[in-house]
Amino acid sequence: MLIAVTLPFVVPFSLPPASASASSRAFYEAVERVPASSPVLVSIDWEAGQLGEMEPLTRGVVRRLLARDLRVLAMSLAPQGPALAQRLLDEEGARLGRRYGDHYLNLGFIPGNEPALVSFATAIRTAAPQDYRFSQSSGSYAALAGVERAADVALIVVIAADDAAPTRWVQQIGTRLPVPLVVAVSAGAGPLIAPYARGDRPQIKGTLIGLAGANEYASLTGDSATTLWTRLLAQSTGQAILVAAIVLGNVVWLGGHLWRRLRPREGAADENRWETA
Amino acid sequence: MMLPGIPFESLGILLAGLLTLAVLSFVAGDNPVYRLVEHVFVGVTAGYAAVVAYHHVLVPKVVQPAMTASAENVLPLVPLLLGGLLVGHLSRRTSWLASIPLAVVIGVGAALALAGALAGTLVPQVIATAVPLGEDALGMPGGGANLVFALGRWTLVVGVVATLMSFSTGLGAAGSGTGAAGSGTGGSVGSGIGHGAALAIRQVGRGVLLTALGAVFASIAVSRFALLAGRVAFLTDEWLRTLGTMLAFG
Repeated sequence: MLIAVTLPFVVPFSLPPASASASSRAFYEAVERVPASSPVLVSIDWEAGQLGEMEPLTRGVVRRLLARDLRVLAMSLAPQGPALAQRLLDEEGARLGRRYGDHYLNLGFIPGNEPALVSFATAIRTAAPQDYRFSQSSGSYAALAGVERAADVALIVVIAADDAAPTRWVQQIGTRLPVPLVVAVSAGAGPLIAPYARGDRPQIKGTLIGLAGANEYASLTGDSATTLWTRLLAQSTGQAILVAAIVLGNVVWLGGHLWRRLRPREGAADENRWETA
Repeated sequence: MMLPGIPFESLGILLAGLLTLAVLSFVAGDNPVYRLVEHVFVGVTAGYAAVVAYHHVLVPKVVQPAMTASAENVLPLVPLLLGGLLVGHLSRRTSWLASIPLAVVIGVGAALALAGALAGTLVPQVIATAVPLGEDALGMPGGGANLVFALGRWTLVVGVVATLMSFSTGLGAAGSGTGAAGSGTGGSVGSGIGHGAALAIRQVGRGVLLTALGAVFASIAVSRFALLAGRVAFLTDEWLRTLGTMLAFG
């Protein structure tokens, strides 16, 4: 399996480009609808262990938000989230010429799950009195100008490794505020948040799922995504090996089962002779 | 900051690569190197969480507001007081004091979670499942008609109902069913039909559950492959490049 996943990084493969799914397109459109300079709340709810899958997703979204000149207000419900967010924001900010405090701000770790989210929704500056990077009063930054409550932002983006954080956002914020909510999650959490993103009136307006979602978003935004493409190939190779292993295992089991049922039982003739006697 | 000729960032990348290889060594079986790295990760995570809790939670949200408290405004002291009561757990005689902040935290948290689950999940999902199944089933929200869309609606409703019924302990049990109350031959026949139907519905429900669990398992497998691909990408690109640069320095 390890060899199969490593192969695309050593041997160059190519696959035809995938078209964007409806949910990825909805995510893209929700971001594009936000007027320039509007504040966007980005909750980065994943930790270092999920870096391999979540970093490309987060980087693509943050890059687009900053490129569109939106004010990115980052926060996290996970203790490691702010540090990971800061690194990505600084790298993408430097690339696009955006300044910390003016174009993007890190409001840090918000502990307490449901009560914290409600508190954050009603009074952002009380729930996050200081920024993460310089421990200065969050209200002193231009990026937070005119934002008192979560209702003052134009869009909420939740980037999470599992379904717990998006579910909390839907339950605690989606039911209280009319702000559109979009979610980017790992592939593992995809099926668990799907019910919120389907139906006539979806509670989540768009979703990006895993590396495939990151790749689709990159193609929609016109980003070059060669590294992402190789990772996606590696993931697909691993999937193919897993499918082959499952199919082969079942075929072997079925073959053995049929062989045991169809072959004549040893000693059956002797048993019959004894019974007759 | 630099060591002689080598930036700290490069040392960090080198160390990260070695730690990754140590974790991957578990493929060959449990070994002391893997165990050591496992303990390092747990320790670093706990230590980092403690630092974040102190610098980014306790100081700005508890200590600094408490400093601003006055005789007219004692509200900022409340979190400090509730937090202090948790120390009561250290002694059996004062442990009842810790129940007060715990009651506040659990009470508020449970109330918000319950209200959120009802308003944000249960009610919207029930509404989303209440879809037309007659001739209207073909009609799509954006206009137009589609047979596949109608089949999807039927699958949704049948799947939800069957899954809910599969959790019902009374259904399908011996003696239950539509004809169970009757007596004599007619009652037995009715009971048998009801029992068989209930069992069939439960089987469908279990099938739906297993399919859903299969989808979740497959998605988690995909997620893990993505994590592995991320590490392999790091090792084959950034780590090897840094290692090459450092060897060139050496």
